Amino acid sequence: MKNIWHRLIRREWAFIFKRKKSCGFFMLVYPFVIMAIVLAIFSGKVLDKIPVGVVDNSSGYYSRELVRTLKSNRFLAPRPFATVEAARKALDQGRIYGVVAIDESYDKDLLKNSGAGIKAWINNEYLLVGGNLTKGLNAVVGALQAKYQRRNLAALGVPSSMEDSFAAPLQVSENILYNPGMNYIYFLGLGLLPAVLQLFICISVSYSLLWDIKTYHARRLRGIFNERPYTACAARVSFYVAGYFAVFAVMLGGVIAFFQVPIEGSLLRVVCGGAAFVFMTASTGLFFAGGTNNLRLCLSVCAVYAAPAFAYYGVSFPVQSMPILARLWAEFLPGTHLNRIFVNELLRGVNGAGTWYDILFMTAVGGVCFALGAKGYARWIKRDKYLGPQL
Amino acid sequence: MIIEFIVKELKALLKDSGFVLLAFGGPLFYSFFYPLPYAREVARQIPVAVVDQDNSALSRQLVRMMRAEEEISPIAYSSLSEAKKALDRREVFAVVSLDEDLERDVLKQVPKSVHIYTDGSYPIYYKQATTALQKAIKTVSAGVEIKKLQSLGAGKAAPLLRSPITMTAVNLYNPQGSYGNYVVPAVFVALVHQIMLIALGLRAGTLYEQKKEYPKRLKPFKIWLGKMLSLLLFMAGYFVYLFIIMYRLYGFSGGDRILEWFLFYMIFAVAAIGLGLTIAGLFKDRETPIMFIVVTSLPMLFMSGVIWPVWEMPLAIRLLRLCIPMTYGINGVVRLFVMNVSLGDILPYLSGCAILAVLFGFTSYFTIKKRYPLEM
Repeated sequence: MKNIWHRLIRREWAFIFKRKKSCGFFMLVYPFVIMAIVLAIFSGKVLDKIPVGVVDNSSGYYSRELVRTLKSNRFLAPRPFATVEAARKALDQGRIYGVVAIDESYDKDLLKNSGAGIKAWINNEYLLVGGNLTKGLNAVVGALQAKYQRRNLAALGVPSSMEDSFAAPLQVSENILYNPGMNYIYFLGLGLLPAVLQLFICISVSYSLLWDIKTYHARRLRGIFNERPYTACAARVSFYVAGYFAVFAVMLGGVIAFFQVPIEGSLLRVVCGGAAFVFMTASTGLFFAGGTNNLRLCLSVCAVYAAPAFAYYGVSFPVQSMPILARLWAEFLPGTHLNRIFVNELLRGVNGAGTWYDILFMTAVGGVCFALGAKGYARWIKRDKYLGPQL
Repeated sequence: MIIEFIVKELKALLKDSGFVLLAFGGPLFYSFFYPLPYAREVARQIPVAVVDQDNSALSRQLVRMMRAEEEISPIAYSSLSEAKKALDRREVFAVVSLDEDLERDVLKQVPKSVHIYTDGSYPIYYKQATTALQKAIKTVSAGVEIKKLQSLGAGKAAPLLRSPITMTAVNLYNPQGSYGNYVVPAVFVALVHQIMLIALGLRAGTLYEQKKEYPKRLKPFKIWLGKMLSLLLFMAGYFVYLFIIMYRLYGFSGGDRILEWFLFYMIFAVAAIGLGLTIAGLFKDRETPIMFIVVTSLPMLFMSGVIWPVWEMPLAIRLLRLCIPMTYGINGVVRLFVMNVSLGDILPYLSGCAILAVLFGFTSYFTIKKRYPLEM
């Protein structure tokens, strides 16, 4: 038994480092290249200084105060435009993402208390940009609104000690729990890790298993697979589980260090979650290999399974808000569970029971996929007619 | 002669089961599978815990206002600790606590805070829940403020004294903030780009394994031209299916500038096919292209600038993205087709795409010439 493990692990080692070096590159170098590119894309971390066109038709004291306040907001980078048409053209051309037009009578209306007007056009097609732009504009207008409101209350004879009760009898006291800085990049950066790894793991495992079938090399393993099919599969898959777990650990460390992600909960549970994720994904690769016995078809199935998975993880859109079919599919993607574990353990530091549920779920589904996949794969190896041409 | 080659090439492509699966099955499957998670467009009815310890007319009015917001679904909890436990378990995504003396203090002119506890670890839920809660609370507060101002003699001017600035904000291009509208058109372009790259690599790898050769009378330029034209037919088919049929079916906004987008798309198609043929020259077996190209989809999509703005990316990435046809295709579909801006307004993207089409046209020709007489 020990001999089987030793022999097959050595064989996999030789496969990726000697026989098929491109696989070694694919497993040990390429994931880091892809992840480095993805991390570099988001290295800005905070989406601020959004270019916004400002058309000051009033050019008075108060409108200039508004422009100054816009400039001081972290989300906004105002650029002056002479006319609304010119600004809208720049908006269409993608040079700016919003237009703020201050009415000609803004100063006059503000002094007369007759509703000083501002119009804003926001490019909401880019949701992240549009969202932060709206947040910035609302903050600016809200601050000025409060200032002028207090001035009006003073004019009505309200003593300054009573201003709060008149200006905002009901205030909102918001406590943002778990991610108080509202750092979206924590969420996105962590969500990208399973998205990248799932594809690599699934493809590597199926490639290694079916390459042997395609090239007739699997015939040499027939004795072992006849004797102990599950042990043989376990030995081969375990090589990739161990390798990719190491890749996962390095990547996670990189993401945590790069984005300065906090660790609020248990790192041990994150590590267990990572192991379960790698196991389930590798077992899925074995399951596809056992089900197809065709390298090209199997890789296509892996691509179909893993390539669009990111859309289902709940990173770009919450799982609970998806239609029932999509929710069901999301539950069978290991990345959905790992993403939950990341959020629970790294950002929230609560709901350890939920984390264990996710770990157990991935392990159980991985176990079922492993059993079915190993059975199917051993069947292909046992007969010559299923093997590829003898080289 | 060239038509004869195109017909032959098309027949050969249709006989290749791997190519057929990818070229027909891919768009068909993904056109339903990708948009599925975004079918509800925005997150609605997010469960929010409400702990009403005051149980007054004012607190009940607040709860009613919250119920009126479509983004949230208030659920009553008897204590704050119970509500916070539910927040920990992710049964709710925000907690609102209405203090015991809420109404009494407001009537006594003591400003009062409504405490909301939100879950910042799920940004989309956070944004929706906090926006809806703040809106409901501020609306009730505004009512109280206006009444107070009127009691001071402000009369009909009270609303204007309360809100001296009136901001009218118009959300352009995607007014509902639909995630489907935001992501799916870009994904359609990414899909045809990646299918072309993988399918051409797969075909070239398969032919290399079979060591098939072109007849001597066929020269590399004719092969290149014939391949380009036959693959453009596929790309035109994708256009009809994805951007005319599926786009209308999903009801995404825009979509009026069909001819202009088609013109842009065909230039993008030449660039994508050119890149596909160039890369295909690197592959000597049929499986490697699937492995190496599939994993590039996500970074290429992010590099386009649709999800994360370009000005926040480092210079190296900003330069790298300029060499990828997908960047231009995605920006073309978003600006020209979804946002309905004119072709003149996206001239930099159009010219960039045209430059890549010429560049990859040349490289693909030289790739075919290099492998000639072997088929690819």
